[in-house]
Amino acid sequence: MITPLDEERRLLAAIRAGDREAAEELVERTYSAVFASVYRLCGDSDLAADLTQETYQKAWSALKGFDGRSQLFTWLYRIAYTTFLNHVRRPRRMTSLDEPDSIEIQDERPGAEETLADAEEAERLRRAVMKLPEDLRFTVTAHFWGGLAVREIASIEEITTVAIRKRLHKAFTLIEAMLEEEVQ
Amino acid sequence: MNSKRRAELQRKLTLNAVPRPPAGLVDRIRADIPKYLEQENERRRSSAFYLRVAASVLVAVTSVVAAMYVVNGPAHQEKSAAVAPGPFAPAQRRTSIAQDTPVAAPTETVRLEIAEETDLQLPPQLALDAAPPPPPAAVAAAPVSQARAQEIAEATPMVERQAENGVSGSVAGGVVGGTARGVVAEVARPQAVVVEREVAPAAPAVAAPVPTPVATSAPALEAPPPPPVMADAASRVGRATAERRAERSFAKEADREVFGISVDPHNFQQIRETLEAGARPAATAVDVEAIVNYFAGPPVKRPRRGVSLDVEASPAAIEAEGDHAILRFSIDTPVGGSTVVASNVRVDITFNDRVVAKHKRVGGDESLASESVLRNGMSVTGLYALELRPNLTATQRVATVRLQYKTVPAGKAETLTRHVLARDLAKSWARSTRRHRLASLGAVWGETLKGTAPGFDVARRAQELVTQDPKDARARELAAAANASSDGSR
Repeated sequence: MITPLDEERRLLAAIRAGDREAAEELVERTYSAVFASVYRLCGDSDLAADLTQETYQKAWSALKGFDGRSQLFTWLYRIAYTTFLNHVRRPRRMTSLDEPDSIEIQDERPGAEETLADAEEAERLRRAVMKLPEDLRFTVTAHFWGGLAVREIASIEEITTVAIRKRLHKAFTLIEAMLEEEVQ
Repeated sequence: MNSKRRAELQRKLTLNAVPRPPAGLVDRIRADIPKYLEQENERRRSSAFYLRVAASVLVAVTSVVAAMYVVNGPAHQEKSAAVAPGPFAPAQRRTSIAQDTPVAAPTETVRLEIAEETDLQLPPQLALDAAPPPPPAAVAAAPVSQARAQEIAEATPMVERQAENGVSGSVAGGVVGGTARGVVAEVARPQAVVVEREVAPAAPAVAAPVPTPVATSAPALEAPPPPPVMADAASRVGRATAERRAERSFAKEADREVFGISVDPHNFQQIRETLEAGARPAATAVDVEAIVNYFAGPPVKRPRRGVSLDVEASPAAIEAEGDHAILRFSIDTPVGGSTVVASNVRVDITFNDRVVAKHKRVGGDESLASESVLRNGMSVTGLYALELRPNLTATQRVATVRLQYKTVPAGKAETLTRHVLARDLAKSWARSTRRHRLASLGAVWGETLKGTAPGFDVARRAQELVTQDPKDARARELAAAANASSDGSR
């Protein structure tokens, strides 16, 4: 019986041998999930698309260094996450939106009121997650947005699953505190 | 925090709605695949190639050392016999090889071959791919024919340039398609005549036919011997130097355009001279791209290695009707000589149609050419004039600039990507970097001079830049030139 892991190994071997179809198959299988993960991180569809594309560009270059110990998607998620962080940390020349001679920009999103309320709450939650310390943020985003299992994250971070669960607990405590602070 | 609240937070985190990936994303990702995979294969191929070259070098060096040993054998043997008549057999074996092998040409001939090879710096690929050595008689009769010498002299500067750069690629006329390696092997292999056969067919394509019957083919090897080697070599060196100069001059000329963007520094000087003479330059004499690049100049700090990509956007320099913006990208290489730092360089700019209604490259057509190599000390700036759609959201992507290149000499593929979001356009033009302001103001001035844009008060804006930083020579030049031309442009 061929397990998903065996299938991944076959795909990886084919890609490494220069098989373009195998690479396309990998993209087909994973790009939606990578896009969703990045979208949850950045909250913008266009940007998520660009970052997803950048993720795969980096993945092809880094393929040689992938040891196959983790799942392909876990590896891709790690690249996507780093790509997102690089984007966030990249210095931007920008100033306040309300400058006198600035171009008028409205932050309008279509939808009913409740949809907006939900979206606002989701956005608040996203911002709170983004404010977490790096180790907690990666753990939360990888688990809830990337869909990685606790064991996978523990393997990436090279710590125990118990430590990951502790991180998650700590992260939720901090998120809760941040959300309450915002309400007050 | 109680478990209920935690569960609620988890649910919200997990159920956060995600839109479907935009149409075409998968195609964009797919489009990147083959290039990278091919590079991977290429790297493997090149590793194998390096191994083969190393093996060839080893064999060639060993052969030459053995040949020299054999040629010097008798004298050395006598000496050895006199000094150490012990039980060492090698001296005996050497003698027998020298007697049995017809390759043992006279010492002088072999040395002559090596000297010529060293002097000429033969294209590496030619000799590496060369056939087995010719008969010893032919080697002795005609080491290098005159026509061949001319061909080599023509090929040499290009090959040298390739060797300096360490870059693979083909050279004009299709004569050489190799890389800068294996020179050691060339020096070591006394096979100049064989090389001649490889090159001969290409000669008519690149040069006028030579009237002399001397050769481009094997029978010519039996022609009378050429003039004395020293004089011949000197003339070859002279020709090679002249060729090299011509090549450098051509390269310098070519450097006035990077990615198809004119960076000619003389254009602004000519316009200034015309204005100082009280005349107005003809529209055809105004090269807006060159002016943009003159005023954009180099960055405040060049990258320490590799290539840098600086992207900046702002509202247009001079207010016009509607929402207009200017996007600048500048590509810079480290300070220093003319060493090649990147190869296979490509710039791609994609605009988001939902944000940008119209876009136009300032002073040129939309397409950007690729560059086979980029050298140190290079700076190029391109500007795009954008017309934006109304009601933008801050996080909407306006454009993405992507620079792809291979590092030299490592050959590693690099991609630099810069996204411009709508919020980046929210700042005022006056808050942009000086490079951005000078480039965009230079563009407006150039367009005004050219008559492709209405007269704007560039002089006043430039004077503001001078007031902010009186030491900025470029701003002073722009202000003075804009003042001089303002009568006609307003």
